[in-house]
Amino acid sequence: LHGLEAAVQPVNLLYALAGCVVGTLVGVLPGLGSTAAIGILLPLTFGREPTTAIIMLAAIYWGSMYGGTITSVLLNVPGEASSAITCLDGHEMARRGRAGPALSIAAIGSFIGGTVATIGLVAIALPLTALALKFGPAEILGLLLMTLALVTGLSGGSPILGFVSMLLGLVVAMVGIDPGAGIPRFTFGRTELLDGVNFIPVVMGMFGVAEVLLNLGEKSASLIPAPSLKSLLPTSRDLRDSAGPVARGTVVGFLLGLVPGLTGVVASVVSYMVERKVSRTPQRFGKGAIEGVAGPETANNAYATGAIVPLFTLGIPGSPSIAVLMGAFTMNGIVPGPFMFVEHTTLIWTVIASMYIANVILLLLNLPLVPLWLLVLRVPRPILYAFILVFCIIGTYTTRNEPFDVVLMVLFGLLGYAFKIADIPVAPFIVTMILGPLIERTARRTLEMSNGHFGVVLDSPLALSFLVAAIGIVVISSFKFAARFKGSAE
Amino acid sequence: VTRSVLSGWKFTPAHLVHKVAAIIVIGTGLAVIVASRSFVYSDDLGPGPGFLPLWIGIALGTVGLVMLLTAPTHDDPDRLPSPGALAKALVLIVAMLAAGVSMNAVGFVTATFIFTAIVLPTLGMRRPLWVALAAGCGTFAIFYLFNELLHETLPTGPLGF
Repeated sequence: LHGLEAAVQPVNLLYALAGCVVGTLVGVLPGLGSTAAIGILLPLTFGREPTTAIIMLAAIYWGSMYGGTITSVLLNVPGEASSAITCLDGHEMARRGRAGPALSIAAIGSFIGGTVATIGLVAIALPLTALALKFGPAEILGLLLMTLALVTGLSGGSPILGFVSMLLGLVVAMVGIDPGAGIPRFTFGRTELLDGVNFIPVVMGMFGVAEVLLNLGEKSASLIPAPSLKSLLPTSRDLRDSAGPVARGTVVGFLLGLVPGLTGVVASVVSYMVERKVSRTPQRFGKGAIEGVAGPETANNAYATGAIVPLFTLGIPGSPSIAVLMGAFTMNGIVPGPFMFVEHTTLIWTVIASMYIANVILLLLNLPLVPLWLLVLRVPRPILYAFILVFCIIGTYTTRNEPFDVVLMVLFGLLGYAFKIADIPVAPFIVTMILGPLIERTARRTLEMSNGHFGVVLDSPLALSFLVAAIGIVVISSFKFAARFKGSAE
Repeated sequence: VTRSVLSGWKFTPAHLVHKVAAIIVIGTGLAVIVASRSFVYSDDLGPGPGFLPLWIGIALGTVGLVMLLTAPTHDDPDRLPSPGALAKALVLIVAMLAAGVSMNAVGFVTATFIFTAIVLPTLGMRRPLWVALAAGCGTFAIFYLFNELLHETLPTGPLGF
């Protein structure tokens, strides 16, 4: 209740509102997803109170998720990957003059999914935290390795490329003062690197700059006219048809969000598959079935809340956008994990309460503002992209007032661009880069306790099960990929 | 494995990109191994600062080798950027570097105005008047947002902005 009280303070409400609006604004832009939105808009939170800053970033996260839906429905171009499946039926509905019901059902479903998932988060956060507080270094190491395996194995493409991404993330994480011996490592004599590679230039580069570079060859898609406010309301049949998909989407999204490594894409695709499977008329899917919008959009939002659970309770970011949120927490002096519920009790409950408030704001605000988002899409691409780059430069520069950080951002932009060209997933890189120092510290503490013998991990049943699960995930995903690759080659 | 290795040696653009990426990964792995040798591998307390880099370097080299011997996940030339897009990307990268490096000396407004004035035509805005207007208005709007509303101190040049 203290959290709710703090969340409804005018200043926090104002920042939640601002976060929802600017998050949706960036989310609406094709190609720029929630990770890019948080990264690009991070500078807006500089100098704020930690609670206010985090409330705003959480609102940006949810706003950008909803922004992606608008683009998918009206433009047939996913604003972000997890909204891609919405293009199938959402855009088809828009083409048939039913853009309003598609957008409103997506908003209502997202609100219900987000609300129920927030209740789920509140229900399981404390028991999970209590369990996590009993973990020793060996268990934490096992858990971290399992997270790495999940993020790498479930990144979607080739596990080999996933490993490349993960290992490069670890290399970047090793830059800076060594946590044990206190000597500089891989700093190339640059004092700017003694504290390690700042995550802001990395995020701005790999998500902001790289996305703009990738979009250079893209042509603008044609817009469908904005629906009128009156036509936004769904019919009673629309509501009836969507009730089941919304309920199933909530469960699917929340549960999949709890698994580190699974992205929102998986949640929305699984929900779509479930709806097609349970439908009596599966042939309608892809031709404007409202169930094809309601289920995935609900799942996507429930996933977004579920994915917060591992971060808050175990200190583990399961996806790039959550990893960036984790970085933002750290920047504000808060280390995500079980101790957050002990050391920053009010803050954590305030953030959880504001997650719900952001969902309410998005429901009330976004539908009437659809015409405004369409205006954003009408801004010429050169202006949009040029000022996204300017935002990236300022955001990076103002972190420490160091031109060197801008150089780093450009280098990571190039790396992100190269990753996309070579089909290397970015998610393992970002998650490992942020988790890297913790992995190394934990690994060394574990080995110090056992005089350098790895056997200590095998002595703990919990650590051992995490390790076995990690190996199992890698082996299964490798076999699955090999079978799929062989099938497509034939 | 044999089929995979054999199919890995085509000379399509996608295969070439995959092989170049593999060679870069192997090179990075070797560089990390060499660099790790300057740090202590282990001491009385357990693993030293050279422990993790060495193993990461070995893992990178191995994974890079596997990458080199296998085919890419796709063979679609349309997924690769065109020479025109690459040229534009190069201009943007140089402009960003120049803006970042010169910001302290010339100030935010001048650096950003010049940056946007170069980038807008590169991205496809043709009319010089529109370029000047967009660059000028956008730069001052962002300066106002950060300096006045968010109270972030942006660097100023000799002219005071």
